[in-house]
Amino acid sequence: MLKEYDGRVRLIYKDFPLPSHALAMPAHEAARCAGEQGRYWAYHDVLFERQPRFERDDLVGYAVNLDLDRERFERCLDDHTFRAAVEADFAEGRELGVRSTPTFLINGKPLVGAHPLENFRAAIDDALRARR
Amino acid sequence: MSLRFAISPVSRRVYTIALGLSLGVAAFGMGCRAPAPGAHDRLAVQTQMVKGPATAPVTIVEFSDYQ
Repeated sequence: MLKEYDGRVRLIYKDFPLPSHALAMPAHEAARCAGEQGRYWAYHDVLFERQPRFERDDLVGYAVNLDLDRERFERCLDDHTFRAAVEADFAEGRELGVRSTPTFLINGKPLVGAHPLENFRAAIDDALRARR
Repeated sequence: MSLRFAISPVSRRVYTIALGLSLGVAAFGMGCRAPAPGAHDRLAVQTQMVKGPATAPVTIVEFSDYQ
């Protein structure tokens, strides 16, 4: 959809690891560790493809498959380098009233849950019209 | 910055998760109160977790969980 709305839509991804998902937090941390090596979106895509296999060995394996520096990645993961950042995203979400995932804010207007693309198009078009 | 999004995981999930789940929008009132006006503009933005130009008139903020 970013291509479809080329230049008119920006996507910001925010971490919202639900406490009920025990392996979510390390997965979110791992994605940021991959980002530290310039492969955030590639790793992000792998996580969605491989969910819920997020044990430590899985996370490291995905990094290795993406040719990331294994030692640096493991250090990042084990040191919880990005845990505070993930928690900060979660806190922001809670502050905004997010209670479940996925929750989308389209120019601030919430769209909760998974939706067909048509619903996103309608919301984006509404937002574009409102900006005119 | 890569703009590949046509078949991104977000899109795939949107397509593949049962339409019934889309009734989640009805849960808006229960699950997500409307943010204060402009609140999303004050979010901390990690540049590596963004796609699309900062000048875009529409910003989608996705709060999501990998698991």
